[in-house]
This record gives sequence, C-alpha cells and structure tokens, in this order.
Amino acid sequence: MIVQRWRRPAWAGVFTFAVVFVAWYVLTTLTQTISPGRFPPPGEAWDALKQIAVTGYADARLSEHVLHSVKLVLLGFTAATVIGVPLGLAMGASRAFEAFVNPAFLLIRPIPPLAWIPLAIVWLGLGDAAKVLIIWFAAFVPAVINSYGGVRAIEPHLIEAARMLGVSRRMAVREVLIPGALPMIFTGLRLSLQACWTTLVAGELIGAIAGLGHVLYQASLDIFPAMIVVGMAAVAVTGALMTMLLGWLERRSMPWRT
Amino acid sequence: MRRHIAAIAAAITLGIATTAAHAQQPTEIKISYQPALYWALPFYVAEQKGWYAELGLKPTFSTFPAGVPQIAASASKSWDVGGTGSVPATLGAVRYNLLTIGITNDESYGNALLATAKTAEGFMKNPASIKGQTIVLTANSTGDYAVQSCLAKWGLKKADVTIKSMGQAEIISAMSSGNADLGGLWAPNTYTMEEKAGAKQICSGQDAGAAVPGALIVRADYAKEQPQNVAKFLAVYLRAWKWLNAHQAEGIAMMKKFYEQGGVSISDASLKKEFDTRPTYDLAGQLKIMQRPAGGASEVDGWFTKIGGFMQANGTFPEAPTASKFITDEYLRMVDADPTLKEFANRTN
Repeated sequence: MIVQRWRRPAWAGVFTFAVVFVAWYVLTTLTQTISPGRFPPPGEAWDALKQIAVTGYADARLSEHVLHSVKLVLLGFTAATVIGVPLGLAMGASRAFEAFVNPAFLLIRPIPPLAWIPLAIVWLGLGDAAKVLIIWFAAFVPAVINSYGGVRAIEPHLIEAARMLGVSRRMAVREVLIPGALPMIFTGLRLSLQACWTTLVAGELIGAIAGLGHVLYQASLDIFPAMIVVGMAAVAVTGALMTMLLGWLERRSMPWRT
Repeated sequence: MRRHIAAIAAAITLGIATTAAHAQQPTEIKISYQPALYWALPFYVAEQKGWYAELGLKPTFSTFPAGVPQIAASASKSWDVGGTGSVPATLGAVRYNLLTIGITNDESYGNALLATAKTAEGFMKNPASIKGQTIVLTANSTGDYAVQSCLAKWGLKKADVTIKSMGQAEIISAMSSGNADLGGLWAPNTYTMEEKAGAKQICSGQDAGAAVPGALIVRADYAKEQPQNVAKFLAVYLRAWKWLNAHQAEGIAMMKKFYEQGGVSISDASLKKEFDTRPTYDLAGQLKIMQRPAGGASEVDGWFTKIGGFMQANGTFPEAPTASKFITDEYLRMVDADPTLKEFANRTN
C-alpha cells in the first residue's frame, strides 16, 4: 500500500524536489563543498527572491517580469500556431501546395532563431515586436512540421472512407483531417512552447526593459548567482505552468483520448 | 675521504649554480585587460619595450570584451592582476575580494551620453526634452554611471527615461541604424560614433561632476602570496605612462596599432584627444589621491563610495562596499619605498 502510494507521480515529484533541496543545502551551506561564488546557498536564493518580489530588480518586480515574458511568449506562440498549423495541414493535405511551399520552408528551417535577432532589430526596432518575431520563428518550425506529419500519419483508409461517403472537402478537413492530426499538432505545440521560452530568454538579452530574460541578463552583469537561480527558477515554473495549461487544452480538445 | 669531500663540494657548487640560474628565471604573472582601451595601452607599450623582463616578470595577457566577464574569470584564477573600469572593480571587490591598488586614468570625460546628429542640438538646448526618451547603454558600467549622473544634473530621474541595456557594439548599431537617438558610450566608442555616424557628445561624466576612474586590480590571494610581483607590476605600468606622456607622438603611433589590433580604427585627432582629455597619474600622483588622512577617506575612496552607491541603487548589492576595505595603496608604497622600483617607475625613457 505504502509502495503504491509512493509510486504516485505527485509524491515521487515531491520526493525528488526534497532530495535536490537537501543536497543543495548540504553542499552549499552545511559542508560548503560548493562555494557561494560558484553556486548560491538556499538562503541567498531566498534573499534574492525576496528582493525581486518585494523591492524589485532590473527595473521591475518579479510579477511584472513574469507578466511581460508571458505576454511575449503568448504573442509569439499564438502567431506561430495561427500561421504554422494551417500551413502544415495544407502542406500535408495537398501535394501541390507542399511542392510549392516546402523548398522555402526547407531553407528557413535550419536557420537558428537567434540568427534573426540583428535583422529583427533593423526591421522592427528595439521594442517587443522584434522579440515576438524571434519567438515566432522559433515556434513556427515545430508547429508546421508536426501539423504536416499529423496529416501524413492519418491512415489512408479513413480519408478513402470519407471520400466514398461523399463528404465535402470542408467537412473532411473538419471531421477527419484535423481530429486525425490533432495528437501530433499538440506534440508540435508543446515543442513550440518550449522553443518560445528558450528563445525568449535570448531575445530579451538585447534592449529589453522587463522580462525574465532581462532579469537573467542583468544578474549576469551583476555577477549575482542567487538572482540568476531565481530567474531560472521563474522561467522553469512559468514554462511548466504554461505547458500544463496546454496539456489541459489538449485533453479538452481530444476527449476521445482520455 | 678526499673523494667524498670532492663530491660534496661539486654538489654544493652545482646547487648554487642551479639556484642562481633559477633566480634569474622570470616570474610569470597573468595580466588581464580589455583591448583597444586607452588605459590598457601601457600594458602593450611595456610589453613591446621589454620592461616586464627588466624587472624579472614574464607576463601572460588575457583580454576580455568587458569588465564583467573579466571579473568573473578571476574566480577561476585566470589572471592575477589587471586593469578594468571602476564599476567592475567595485563589483569584483564585493563578489571575489578583488583589491583596487591604483588608478589607470581619469576617464570622466571618456564616459558620456551621445545623441544622434539630428537630435543632439535639440537635446543640448533643452535637456528636459530627454524626459520620456529611450537611452541605450551598457547597464552597470561606467557609461551607465556617467549617463545617470548627467540625468541627475538635468534634474531627471532614471524613471523619467526608458533605459535599454546592451553591449557597446549593439549601441553603435542601434544608433547608426536610427533605432535609438541617445546612447551611453565610452571612449574610443564615443569617437567611433562621432566620426562614423555624426553623433554628438551631449554630456560626459566630467560635465556632470562624476569622477569616473579606471582601476588597477589584483586578486587578494595573489597579492598576499606575491606582494613583490604586484609592486613590480605597478612600477612597469607607471613607467609606461611616464614614457607615453613624454613621447606622445610615438605613443599615438603605438596606440593606433594597439587599437587596430582590437578592431577600433579612429582618426589621429581622436587618438590625441584621448591623451588630452584623460589624465593619468604618476607614482607621486597616485600616492596623493590614495592618501588617507588620519581616520579619513582618500580622494579615491570618495570616488568609489559614490560608485558603490550607484550600484546599490541599481540593486546590484544590498549594501555599498566600504571603499577602504578594498582600496589599498600598500603596493604603491612598496614601489615608493624601494629605490630601484621607484626609479624604474619614474623613468621617462
């Protein structure tokens, strides 16, 4: 019974966190095997968290930084989803369209999102628009590839059956193509969301006035390891919460899978 | 018996000879700096002239694009001594117990707020119009300190403007491409912006009454282990300034080469301006500005106390460090007390 309880994922997760925390405390505070200059003890990280949450750091409080980053991620992610998913579906559904779009897509695909930063600044200036564009680039590719792959993975007999039943093109898309591709579309969206957060931190390194990437940049300039840990933890927690939200949306969108 | 005595005598002779040879071996010292900066020129000149070797030092140089990575590298003992800005020096004192042992130069004029050609005149005529503008600068740098001092001089607060932080190269790109009208830069980037993009310097640290010194720094553990080497390092640095100030034409030629090696190409007039606007200190001058009256603070203590306050206000650390705890004239006094080093440091040839 006890063994079964410990097998539950939530308990296992709590146990892992507890072990990591104890190891952190023992190594940095109790035995000081790792010096504070290399990795901050929990006490310093707590002080840094209080500083950014209460008095603020890098020109804003933690809540403002988180909201700013979430705003940028949502904008980039939404734009990538709105453009990338239909594009991937269209490429998967139509050989002619794929032949038309794929060469350009294949050229753009290997370019690292961060390589767009200088051009994004020239095109859109130092504001948030340039950052959203970079995030969009990062999220766009997985959204397209997985939507395309989702359509291609639909078993041909389903499409044949729909044709034989005389289903209209629009209905085939709505009833066969999208539901059939949905599992892979969501896999792509999860990858896109992850890419958004990875790129956001890099995008905010230049010319940002708020955001978690800005916090990390400022903390690196201040050689402030405790604040770096707080910034990283904030990115991790916010990113995990958004992934959980996407998971919830996925379950709601595909009730037949639960 | 005779054979034994001969063997012992031979061993002693060999031992003495080896020790003597070992004593003449130059001592390695790891020096760090940032390339293409005025205060780093003495390192280059001294190396070219062979002055380190004259004092038995064998330097290994490491260069860093900015003060922060330079300071961070001290944690892994990547360097022993070096030069840096006063803001990174203060940061290094708090984070890694770095000591400030001298002043490279007074760069109050060289750290400034620049505006693009089309906006400069308007901002100069009416500094209050800077309110609401975006300023691009390198956060927590001497440039940031100078810009914030300028804002304070005009009765503006940091919150009155939007500050965007980026590296010096990105600031030049942003201003040149019309993405920013105001930028905090330090020399020689100020000259690059003036010459290549027509920007104008509208306020410097000097104009705002903010002393912006450059610092000579050492790792505290190295200073404790090798105080004599630290004194020799200072003597070489001071001699290089003496020589540069006495042979300016030749110095400018070397400076041009040194800057070009660091990717900076500016006119001879701007190179000369570096000499004209950035005072340096010889041994006596250094000792004077670092002298603490009984129970009081030195001039340098005062400069760094203000810089510490600026960094505290920026949230870099909760309390500004006490200047007297990380600034010391101990090694300058060692140079002064040693007739050979003193004479060496004051040579103009």
